[in-house]
Amino acid sequence: MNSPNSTKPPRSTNLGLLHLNLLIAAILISTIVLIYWASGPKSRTVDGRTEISYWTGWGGRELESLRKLIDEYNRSQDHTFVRWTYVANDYNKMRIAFAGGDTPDVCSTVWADDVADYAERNAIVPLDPYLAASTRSLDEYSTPVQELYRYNNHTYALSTGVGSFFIMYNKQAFREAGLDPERPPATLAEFDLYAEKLTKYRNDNPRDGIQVLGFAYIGQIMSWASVWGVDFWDPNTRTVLVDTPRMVEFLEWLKTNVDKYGYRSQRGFLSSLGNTVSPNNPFLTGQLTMIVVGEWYKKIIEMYAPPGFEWGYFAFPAPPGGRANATILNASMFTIPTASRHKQEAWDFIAWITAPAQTIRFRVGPLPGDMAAASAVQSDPGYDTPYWRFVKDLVNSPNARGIKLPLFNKFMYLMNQVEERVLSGEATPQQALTHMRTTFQSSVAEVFRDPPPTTTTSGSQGVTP
Amino acid sequence: MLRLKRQSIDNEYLTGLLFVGPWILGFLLWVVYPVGSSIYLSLCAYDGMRPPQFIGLQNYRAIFADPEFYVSLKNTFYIILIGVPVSLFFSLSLAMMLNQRRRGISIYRTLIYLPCLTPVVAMSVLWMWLFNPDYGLINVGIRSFNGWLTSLGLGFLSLPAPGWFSDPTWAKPALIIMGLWGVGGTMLIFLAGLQDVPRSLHEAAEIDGAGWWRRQVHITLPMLSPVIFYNGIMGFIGGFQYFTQAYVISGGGGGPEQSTLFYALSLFNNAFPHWRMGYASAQAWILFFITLVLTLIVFRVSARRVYYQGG
Repeated sequence: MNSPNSTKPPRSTNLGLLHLNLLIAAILISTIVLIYWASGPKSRTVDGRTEISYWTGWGGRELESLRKLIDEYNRSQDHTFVRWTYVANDYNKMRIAFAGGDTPDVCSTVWADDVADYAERNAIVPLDPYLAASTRSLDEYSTPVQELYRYNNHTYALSTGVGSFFIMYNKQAFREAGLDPERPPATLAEFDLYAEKLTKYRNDNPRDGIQVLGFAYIGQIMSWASVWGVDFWDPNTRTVLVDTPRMVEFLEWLKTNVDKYGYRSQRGFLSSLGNTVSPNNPFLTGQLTMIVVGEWYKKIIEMYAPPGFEWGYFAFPAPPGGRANATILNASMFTIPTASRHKQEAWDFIAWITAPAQTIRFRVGPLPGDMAAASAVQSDPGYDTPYWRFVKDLVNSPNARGIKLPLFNKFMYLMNQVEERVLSGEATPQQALTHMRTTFQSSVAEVFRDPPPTTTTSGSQGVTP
Repeated sequence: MLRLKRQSIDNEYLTGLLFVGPWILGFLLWVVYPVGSSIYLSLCAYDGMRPPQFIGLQNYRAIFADPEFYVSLKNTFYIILIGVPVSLFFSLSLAMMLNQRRRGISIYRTLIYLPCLTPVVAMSVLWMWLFNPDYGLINVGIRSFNGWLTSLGLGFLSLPAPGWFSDPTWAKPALIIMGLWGVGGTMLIFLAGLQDVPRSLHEAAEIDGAGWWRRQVHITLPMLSPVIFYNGIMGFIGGFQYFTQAYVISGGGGGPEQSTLFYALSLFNNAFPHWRMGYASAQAWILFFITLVLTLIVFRVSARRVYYQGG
């Protein structure tokens, strides 16, 4: 029917294109269906076992130990099969997974300070009913560790290890500064004095810049605030507690010490330092003589320290009225996402992997690299050294606590801003804290969709006692 | 006859629809639906996990009351008003230098374009090293230069060797300098534009006694104005989306002292780490309107200054 002048393709060409299009559409649809089918979670293995997915953030030596344990678990099971996935150490991926509703059945990729965020949004399930029906019990852990697993009167997680923070120092630098290397500072005043003595300037002239910094006061606001006796959050009134005279006092102390070395020059110096996990580690090169570390730092020293490097350690010195032997606890938490389709199997695996018999192989091994969470494992001979005894005492200290509040990342972001604004002189401590409180309270109001609890219980404390 | 014609039109219509079908589907799914959703979400308290809760204009009111909004806008405008012109000037200068018939000129063009192929994250990490206050190549170079000046008795002309990314005064200039490394793409568009300028115009002006500078100002720049305008608009829109470099350098925090807290970074922080998708959606819409209004203004203002050969 086409006219001779028409530019339209002949009808047969049209039909050919139509068929081609239909073919392409069919291929596309089949590909999408196939991809969906292949990537979707499978419930059963070929031998009929229930398959559960597990995400881990551990790599290297830990992953190797973990893999062996999971293989052992799978061999021992005729009901469950654990398929593990390494999701690197960026735990932010969990947020995306939770938001997308595409979570594994078990994950150990949740930090302790994220538990409140997930729990408040019902993204993870309480483990209490599973714990009650099993042979496992929270009594296997010390009170501070137990509290780390709890939020709003529920247990949401278990872990194999527990992390803490304290201070390490360079003994050689102490000696050179005329300080006794076997006697670390015992009081806060002594600590500040040591930091001053250990600091060196280029050409002995502060104008030429810092050469060695006794202690970097910048960037440790949470640890120090906790030592000063500051609480961060009241779950009963759902208010942030940082806007207090004690916090003001702490920030004034912080500013006084930072000002001794100059805020900008100190920050410039800190930004020029090498990577922690490398031979350029500033503690090992002698550029920082006292640093805040976790118990895992021992491994870094063993890997990269120059021959003859001598180091010591001590807990944060507390000011009068502060908390002695205080530390902030954290851990990679085993949790069950609400979207898990095999919660009982997920719990069975968590109960097995976090049990002392497995923890001892995972955490202690031939040489411990981290502190185990379970009290029974902490008594293992592998931990019977002065260093690990110190870490053990710190972790179980009544002043060891985790941070548990909703919108943790926002809270940290604002706390870092408080530090920057005060130290740069942009705001007084009181101004910065008032602004922080107002901003955080307005953000956190979005989190709660029910009225605040009326009763006070120890288990619901924002900061564990 | 009429029926057959109608059937043919229907078939053509169907064929056309089938051709554009995948695009329409993708457009509806990946553009219309998310854009529509974000309008609704901007009116909700939404954390990405629980169902959104309608709160009206509360997010918009909160944004305008938040000092961070103004800080991030100020930083973003800094990049647009200073970074974009500097980058345009630099890339145009490079293009003019490379618009010559010299032996091996294509090698120079390739070398200058090459950094564009580096991923932004890798480039940012590399420049963090170059800008290291103590050991970075840039400060080491500045110190050597200052030493040389001092040896000549010209120490008073010494340049500062700042902390760059650790100093709020220098963090944004450092980002602009870093951006110059990736001007190869813009330079290439300028080069194409320059090669489109008729040689006859230059020859005629030369015969009339015009020197190099006058020819550039009165011939090259007007003839190149549509290209400059295009690159300017692209840089302008890119400035509003400035994110990756600041995210890598500040670790997401926008420091030091919020000096690298750009609008897109603030939006990302609210959406993901801070669980405030509704608030971030409102921020996105505000950004859209700011970009739209300013782009329209730029189009309006530049209408008389851009010369299109086609008329």
